Amino acid sequence: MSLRRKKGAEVEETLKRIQSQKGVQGIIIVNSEGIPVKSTLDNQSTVQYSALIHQLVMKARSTLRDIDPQNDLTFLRVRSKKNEIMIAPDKDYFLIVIQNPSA
Amino acid sequence: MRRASTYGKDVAGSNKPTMKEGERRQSLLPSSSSGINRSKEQLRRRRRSSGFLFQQKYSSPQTSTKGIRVFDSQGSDVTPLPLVAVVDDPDPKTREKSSLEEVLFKKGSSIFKSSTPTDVVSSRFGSSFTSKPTESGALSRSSITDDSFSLPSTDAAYEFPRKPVAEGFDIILSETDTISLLDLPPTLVSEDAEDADAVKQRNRDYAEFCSSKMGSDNFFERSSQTLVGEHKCKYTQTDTNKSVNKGTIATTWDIYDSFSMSTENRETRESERVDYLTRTRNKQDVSEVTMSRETGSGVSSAAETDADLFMLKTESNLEKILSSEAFMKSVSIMERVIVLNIFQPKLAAFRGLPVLKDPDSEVRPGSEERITEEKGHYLTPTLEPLWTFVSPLTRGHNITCMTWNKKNPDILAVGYVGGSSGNPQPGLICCWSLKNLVWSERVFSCHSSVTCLEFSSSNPSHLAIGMYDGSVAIYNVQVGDDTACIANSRDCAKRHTQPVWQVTWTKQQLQLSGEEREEVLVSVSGDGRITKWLILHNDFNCVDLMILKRSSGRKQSIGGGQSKTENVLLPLTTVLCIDFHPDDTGIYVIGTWDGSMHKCSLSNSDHFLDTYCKHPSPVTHIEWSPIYSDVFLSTSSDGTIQLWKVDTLNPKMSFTSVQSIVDSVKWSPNCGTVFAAIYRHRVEVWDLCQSIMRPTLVHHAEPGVTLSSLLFAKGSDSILVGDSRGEVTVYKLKNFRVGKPKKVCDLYEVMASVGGYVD
Repeated sequence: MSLRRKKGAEVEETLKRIQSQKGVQGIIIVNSEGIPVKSTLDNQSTVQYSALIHQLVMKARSTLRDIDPQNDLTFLRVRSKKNEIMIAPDKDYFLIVIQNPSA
Repeated sequence: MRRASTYGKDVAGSNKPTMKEGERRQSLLPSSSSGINRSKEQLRRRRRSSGFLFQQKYSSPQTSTKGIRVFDSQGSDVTPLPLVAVVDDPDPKTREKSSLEEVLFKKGSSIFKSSTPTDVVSSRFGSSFTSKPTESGALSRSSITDDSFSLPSTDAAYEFPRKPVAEGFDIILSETDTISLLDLPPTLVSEDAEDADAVKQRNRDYAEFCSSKMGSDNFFERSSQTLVGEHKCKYTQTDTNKSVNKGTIATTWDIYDSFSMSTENRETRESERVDYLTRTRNKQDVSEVTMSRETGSGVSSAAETDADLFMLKTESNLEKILSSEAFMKSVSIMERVIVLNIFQPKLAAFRGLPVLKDPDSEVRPGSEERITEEKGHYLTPTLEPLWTFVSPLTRGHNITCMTWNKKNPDILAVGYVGGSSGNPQPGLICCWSLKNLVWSERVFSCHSSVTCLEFSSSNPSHLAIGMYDGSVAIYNVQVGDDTACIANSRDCAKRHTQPVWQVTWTKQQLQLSGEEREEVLVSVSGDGRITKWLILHNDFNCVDLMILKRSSGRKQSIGGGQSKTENVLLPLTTVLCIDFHPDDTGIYVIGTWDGSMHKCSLSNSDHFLDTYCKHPSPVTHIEWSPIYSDVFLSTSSDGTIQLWKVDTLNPKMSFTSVQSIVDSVKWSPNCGTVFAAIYRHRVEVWDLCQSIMRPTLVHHAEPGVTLSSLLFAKGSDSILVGDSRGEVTVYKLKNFRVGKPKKVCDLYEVMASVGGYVD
């Protein structure tokens, strides 16, 4: 198997493992324009989450970089009463996972 | 006789329907004695009519032209009066009278040819208001008939007093005041004034001028017409100036980015161009593909290709994202975060942190009972299972060895037997991280079962393993794929022929410098050799440190010297374990198959320094205490654990609990008097401060499971136990030190207190 395909398979496997972890409610992958490209939630929730979280991440990143332009956002966790939203932002994509660890 | 002198009264008196008045007047006419009387009436009425608009009720057919009635806001009839009144009664007398009256009524203005405004109007719009044709010329005059007089009539109830005509009454005429419209008083200059002469002269000149003007040739009247420029409209049309609001926020990072981009621009421009070309080419390919698919579908193909392109774009986007390095990293970090979320209480317990209850989680009634149960048993030391390192790959493989990384204490390497023991199938090494408890970070497969492994301390990413077929290999765990194996002794000429039972890294003193310590890998194997492995120019080679031969009865090393008769080719004895002195790295102790342990030195490869004999059966494990540098423990298959001091040839203490093979014994890195031993079906933790006769803690394995490996966790009150199912379970030592005062317990004290043993 080529290296690239192997890595791709690894990524798929890891995503499947994440999905099967306890309390994980959904995974969304959003591209740089804010369009969700892959999601395990229903369409409406996906669109809502991706739009709102896109804005949040932009704001967070802008805040950090205003303080120090050489800094950048690597991870963002939003803990709420009902669940926790974890966001791994990057230049080209966002990876969003919603988990409720006590459920 | 009634004197109607006031104007107002006259007004009131006129409120009468025309008909009646007209009739009456007509009736009056023949009986009227004085025409003057009637004329006065007319006069009165005319006066009134000059100020008011009176209502008229056209009840008589003779007068009605139109049945139109106009009422003003107060409800009074303000119907316009007919301009030319119909002459019903062409009485010559009346006509005369009327003309007379008109003459009388002239107020000196020659403009009004008629005395009343109604007359003027009637002269202009004559026929429109009268039903009957009237005479021209003296139309205005003669047409003032009774009708016009009868016009001023209102609805007021006041009626003209019906008096007998014979009575008569006086009518008084009076003149109104002169109304002056223009008054230009002349400037009067006195005769005695200084400029009186000048003024007189001027006046005379002016008079002359005026008189001469009339007939003089200098002046003549002439009219001319000026051209008034005609306005011309010219229209033009322009586009409105649209204003667009544009704003931007120049944030600090935006400025920084643009600046750094502009400096890098030249370098990346080329590569970007190339990228762009390839991208456009790809797009073209994609669009071509879609085009070819859509040929023949007509108009809808355009929309479809757009949609397809979009879908393909997002799909390719997804693929690009999924295959990128950064995404892989993000995903693995995300997995760690999620797992840490789930296992947070367990890890907190592992690290010795207080376990905080999640304020948002709901407390279930079952868990509460468990808590109370535990409180009841709080005095008993137990092993509380925290979590298990297991994955589908490792399930079912027996674990033979475990070791922590020297540099990063969160990384654990576990060696697995491939298949069932004795069956040389490819073994497995998994590197687990405490950050991801559900999936191993690295998985390496080896060509044979792994029997032992250890991390190097000078190169923390190098992992040395010994295998069942006698190979020794070094893996670089930083690399995730197949190129991790740096060195393998499979092709080495002097490789071990028997299973390698232990590998260990030790720091050796460089001969030349003396300060620097180079680390070497030492392995012991079933072929009786203790070998030192070196990597020289990509060549993995070994040097024998010592070769052990089985001695028959006498526990002395075989070597050159004393008796040549002893130099028989005796079968080599298996060296099962080795451990280097923690401080003096030139000294090490080995344990052999026949139960004897030898203290050896690196410098002396022929002779043992000391021999410790106690165990009748193979010594399975030797370990120096990490805290007391001259004490070591040994275990063997006879089920005993012996505590030795280096310089005494007899064990200081001996521990026995169960007649079972002790696979391994490990000192606790945290506490000098605690050690743990693993039997096939149980784990025992001894605390010499508490008791030297019994293990403080005994933990039984589940039925059917063989416990095979043991490891302490540094800095944590936890033990890792590997079993035959391929699972590494992490246990927390619970209630271990409960009830005892915090007394610093010294092993020497304990040993001294035992006494009894004779050196």
